[in-house]
Amino acid sequence: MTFSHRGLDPRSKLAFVLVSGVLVVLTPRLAAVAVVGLAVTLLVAAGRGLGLRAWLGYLRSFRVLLPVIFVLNLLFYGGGPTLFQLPALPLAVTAGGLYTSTLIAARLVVVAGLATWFAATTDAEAFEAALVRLRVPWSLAFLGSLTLRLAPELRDRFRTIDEAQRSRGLVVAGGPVERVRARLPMFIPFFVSVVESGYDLADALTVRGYDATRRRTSAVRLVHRRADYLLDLATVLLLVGVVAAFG
Amino acid sequence: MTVLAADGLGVRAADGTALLDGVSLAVARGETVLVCGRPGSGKTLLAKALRGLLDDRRDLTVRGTVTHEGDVGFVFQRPATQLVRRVVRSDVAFGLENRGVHPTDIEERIDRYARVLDAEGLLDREVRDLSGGETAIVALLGSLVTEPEVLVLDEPVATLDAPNARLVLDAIDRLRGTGTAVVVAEHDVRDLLGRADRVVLLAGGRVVTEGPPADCLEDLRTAGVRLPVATAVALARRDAGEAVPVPLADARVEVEVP
Amino acid sequence: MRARDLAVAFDGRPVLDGVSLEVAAGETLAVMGANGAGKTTLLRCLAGLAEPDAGTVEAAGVVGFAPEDPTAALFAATVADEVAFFPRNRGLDAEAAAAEAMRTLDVEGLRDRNPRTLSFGEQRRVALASVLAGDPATLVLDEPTSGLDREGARELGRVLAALETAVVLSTHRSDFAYAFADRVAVLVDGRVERCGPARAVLADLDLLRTAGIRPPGLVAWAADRGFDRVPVDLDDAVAMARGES
Repeated sequence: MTFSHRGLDPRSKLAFVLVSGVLVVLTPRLAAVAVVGLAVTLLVAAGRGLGLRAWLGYLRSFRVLLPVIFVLNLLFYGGGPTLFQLPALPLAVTAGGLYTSTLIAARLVVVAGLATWFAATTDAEAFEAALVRLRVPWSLAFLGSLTLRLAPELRDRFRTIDEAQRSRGLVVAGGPVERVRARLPMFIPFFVSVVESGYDLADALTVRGYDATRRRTSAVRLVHRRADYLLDLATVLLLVGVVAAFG
Repeated sequence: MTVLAADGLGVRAADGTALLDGVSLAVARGETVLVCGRPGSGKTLLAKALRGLLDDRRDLTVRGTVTHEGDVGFVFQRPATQLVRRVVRSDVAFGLENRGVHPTDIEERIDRYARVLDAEGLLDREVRDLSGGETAIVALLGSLVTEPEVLVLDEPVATLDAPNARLVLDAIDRLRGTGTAVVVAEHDVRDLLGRADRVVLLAGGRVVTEGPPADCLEDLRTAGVRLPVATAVALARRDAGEAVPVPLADARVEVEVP
Repeated sequence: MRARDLAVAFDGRPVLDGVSLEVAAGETLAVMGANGAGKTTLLRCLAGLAEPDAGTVEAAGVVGFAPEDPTAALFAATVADEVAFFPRNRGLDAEAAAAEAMRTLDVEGLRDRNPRTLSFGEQRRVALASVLAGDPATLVLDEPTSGLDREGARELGRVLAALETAVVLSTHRSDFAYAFADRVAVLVDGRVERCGPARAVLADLDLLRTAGIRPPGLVAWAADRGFDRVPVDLDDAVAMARGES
């Protein structure tokens, strides 16, 4: 039986994301993180609408952040036998540090994977309705769904700016610091347009009656199907399983 | 009966420049008013002021008043800005949800007004797949279902290609048939001159001329507003002393609408 | 610049299907067609911003690109800095190149202003100057007339027509193309339906109708009145109208 990611009840998806996320963040065991990561991967692979390649493609944007976090944690967490002492500074790579930094990096990957899966397969209005059912104040829920909707627009906007600057001879090269400095002519117009979009959005919401009345109604209907029950079951099993196995 | 009125409206920028100066305007029920002028003449600012969007702007000083009976709807220059949901039907419902309208009434109104605008085929489409003209129509519909007395449209056709402009113009015609007053701000008046009951010409933030289109043609021409060819030709002949009728639009050109 | 058999597909849907065209120095080519016909994709391929799935683009010299939204690339504190950006990146004499470009686009008087405080028309000219300053052999412009009214478009057209650079631009404004383009390529569903001298192509009413392009005002007027030639300008049209009655 295959299911469509987008067709899943957003409440079940949210529950899965929250439970998995909390598990990986709280556990001190790398193995537990790996188990949850495996569960997420299986989930993505089993459903229609988001291929493994596309999903991993989204995670590629973390390929810069990940090594940075890994190295920083490696140097600043200590414990256990020293594996390598840095020549000039009073910093060392220890076995404990290695474990902890791997753990933190793994957490980041799994949480990013969860968030990406959710964002890529959930409609803004479904997400909104799910949050409201969970008693989140509507304005907050709406803010969340709006962010989901706007993310691709901002990405496109950045790409337009990126292209325009590159065709004016902008070259992004050199070490990390030079690269950031080189990108300034891209960041500036981008931030300005984000701020202006904010004003436009405020106007747009006023026009749509966002501040009209305290009591809202909703025309959205959420249904819970077999696939959703299975996902709920999987969430519970994961929670119970990880807690039981890893304490 | 006046449904929307601006009285002595003045807007100043932070550095003191007058963006709008002493603008007074009254829109009667069911009337179609065309606000025209060159880019920078204050059309969009006036449109936003009429909808009350300038109230919270701290970088502008606003004088004068804007009064209205009932709701004032608005469609942005880029209508996609005001569409917030993934599916058209759901987005159109948004405005009604915000007003606390009962779900069954929401369904009923959406179906009724979609029929008015001939937009039923759009209801199940995704917002991001819509063409420019279709986006404008969905934004129009989203406003129309809230049954405003006036709808303000900011440059609805200027950036659209021919087929999409045709879609929007047809929708505006149907809109006019509902008795809702319509205020359109546009610099390209070729297709709107013949659809307006009254024209308001802005230049430098001030009202230069106001009245039925036929009475304003000379002033429009002087101000550099682009007129339909047939209108311009007839005006030139009238200048030369010939007594010829002055049409307000070119003959309708057939454009294939996808 | 020459493009041969360009083909691009998104998600299996062909957007460009065997597009070939060429532009010579000093020439202005207008690419027209309904939205979705592939204009923007074509321009991005020509500017080297997108890799076509098939086909080649050859350009003698540097290709400059200006996106539809002129504010997209504005980042500098002054117009002068903005315009000097491209030539400086290319290792040219930035001061001289910028001054020349600002003169051509008539924005010298704005050189110390912050580009973000300018009017839209001025920003459009600054954006163009900043691309021109890099001394490209070809200019690729995406909807350069959007947001401009007839007068503003006229001024822009005059500047473009006077350039020695080859210009490829996309537009849906047929009056603009009729007046200022040397040749017009009409795209329909990702293919070049016709490419030829502007006045000839834009007088082909059947083509325009199929392509979803509104005929230029004078062309439509002449057709509506049953004239077999198109008036050269308004005065000519008035004379023709008189001759008729």
